[in-house]
Amino acid sequence: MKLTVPHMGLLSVAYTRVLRQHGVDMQPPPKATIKTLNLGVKYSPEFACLPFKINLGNMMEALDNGADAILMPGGYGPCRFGYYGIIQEQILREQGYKFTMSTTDNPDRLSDMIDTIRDISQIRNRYDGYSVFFLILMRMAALDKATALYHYHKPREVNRGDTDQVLKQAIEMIDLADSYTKLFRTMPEVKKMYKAIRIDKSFKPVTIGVLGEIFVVIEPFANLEIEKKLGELRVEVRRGVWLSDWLNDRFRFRPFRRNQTKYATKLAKGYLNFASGGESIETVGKTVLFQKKGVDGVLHIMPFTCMPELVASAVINRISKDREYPVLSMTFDEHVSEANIITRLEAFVDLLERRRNGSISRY
Amino acid sequence: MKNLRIGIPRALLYYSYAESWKLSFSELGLDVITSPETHANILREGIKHAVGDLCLPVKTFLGHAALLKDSVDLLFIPRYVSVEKESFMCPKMIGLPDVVRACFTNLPGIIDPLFHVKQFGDNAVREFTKPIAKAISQHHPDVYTLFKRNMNTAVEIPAEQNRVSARLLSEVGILSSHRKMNIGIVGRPYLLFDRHLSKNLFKYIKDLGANPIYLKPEEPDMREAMAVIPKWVYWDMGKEVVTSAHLFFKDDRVDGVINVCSSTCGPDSFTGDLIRKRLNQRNKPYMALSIDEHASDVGIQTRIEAFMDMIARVTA
Repeated sequence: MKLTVPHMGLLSVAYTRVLRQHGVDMQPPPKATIKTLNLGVKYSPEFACLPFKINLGNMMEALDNGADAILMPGGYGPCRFGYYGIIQEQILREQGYKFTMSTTDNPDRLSDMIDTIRDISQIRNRYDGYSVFFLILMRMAALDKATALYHYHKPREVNRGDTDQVLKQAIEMIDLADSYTKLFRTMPEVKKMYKAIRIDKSFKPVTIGVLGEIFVVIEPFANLEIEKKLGELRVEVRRGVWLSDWLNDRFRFRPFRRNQTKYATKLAKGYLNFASGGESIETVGKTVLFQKKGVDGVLHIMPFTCMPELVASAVINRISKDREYPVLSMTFDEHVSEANIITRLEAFVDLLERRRNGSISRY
Repeated sequence: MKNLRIGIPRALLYYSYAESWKLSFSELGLDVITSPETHANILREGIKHAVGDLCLPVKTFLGHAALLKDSVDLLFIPRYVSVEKESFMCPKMIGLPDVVRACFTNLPGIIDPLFHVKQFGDNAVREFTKPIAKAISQHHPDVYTLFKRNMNTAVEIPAEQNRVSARLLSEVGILSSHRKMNIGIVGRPYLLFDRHLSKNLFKYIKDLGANPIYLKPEEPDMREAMAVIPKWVYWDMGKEVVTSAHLFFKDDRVDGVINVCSSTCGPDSFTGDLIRKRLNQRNKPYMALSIDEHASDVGIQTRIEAFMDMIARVTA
């Protein structure tokens, strides 16, 4: 059985090697390209959201490469994500693919996740199940840490491209750290590598908080590498949603990290009083947080027709008006063009720079 | 003392629950003011205030709210999160009061009680009425009793709306000897029964000599339909849509099915796929009709005519 799981940011880096060691024949889909997207778009329902289409393309390419089992997380939230697996299976079967499909119906519960891991691997011991699962979570947190360091160094780097090289290397190193001990030894090395980058310490970059639907935020293919583009515009990105935070809110593997959803719910009071699924409450809460913390502006990105984020975008528009705080909402789908995104980002960054220099008081 | 005037926008859940709200509020001694039926200006106003690509029904709701907001003391925009133990409303419905607050300034007071059966279980109505009692400064037990009693008031069906509503297919009078073409209509009540949004679809089909059927499925039907598909649909209205489609496809007397949905509707993009591929095993004529603010009467009518021509040829 060759198991494949659709991509979501760096998640596949976190689990592939660990699960392979425990007897799961993991076959991650090839990295998403325009071909993946075209495949997904061709067979998806017209108004399905972008993550659905990219995931479907991932599955098709993985099956073409010889995978014969798919694991797709599910759920019963108000967001469409819980129903992805069903529709995707139906489409794939219609196209004549032969495979087995399993879904985890309650991805919020630890025991369900452990059972899923035990179902697919040779791990029979419950304790080992926990140990493997938490190693995957720690690796995910390490990858997020490396990405956060990238966000800090990218706008300040002296030689263009240094930071990108370091990030690539860091991801490889974390990928090789397949046990707790190795992981704890790797992290200081990663930090050292970032320290070695030549940066302009006196430079104070414009800061932009990136918020929105989690898939579009963390998957560079879906957002046309928006964080890299911002870095190249010499902007420091403050990402508001992290996959490791999302996992931490559910599985508490970093006991000293605050529960981000609860924190955001508190901050969003008065603007969004009830979480309407997805990352809506995080988007609203963190917009308020970034404004308080003096981040220069917020970039809110979401897939076209995303239901929860549409609510959030209406609400943060209001926050923007009330507090005179620059917010830019961008929608991503298969028709989005790179030139369009770059132009809008440049205009937004220009505005933030001028606002900071005091040449415009309002925006 | 003058009575409190409470405004209920005629959009979205109005078409599913308004009768019980109206009855309860008037029994509590409030003046209930509802907005008129949607017309072009209301929709235009809604689009003006809406942010981003919100869907057509929400834009309509904003239009109605805009119309009411200056002439009432309180605006009633309940937050329906779930009406059953194991399901959810669409996220836009869950965030509706916040969206309205975000899109307007100078709003009157908003009552946004939470209706959440998934969380409160049998106490849902009690929790629902607490903020209402507080907002209109009345004794909570009285409000609760009234709402509880009126809960199941069926939505009134004015004959002039030309909609056929029936609990069971057998009640629709399909079994007449002179056989007419029967067309099952599935969709969300707030889209189907808003005559402006649905371009008076029911009447048009009737005028063409066919028999449009809408039905509100019952609990056992839903269980049956959910057993046919691989995973039950966890949106309340999506479940109804899928169930009525299932009943129509199953019934020999129904000649064709039209699925009316709003163009960027999230749940319907998936349930539509389910209906087309999973439920329509017998390959009955089926048409998905998506509606947005640019839809024109003529466009919709042409498609309906073409659909009916197709059915006529298939059955002949």
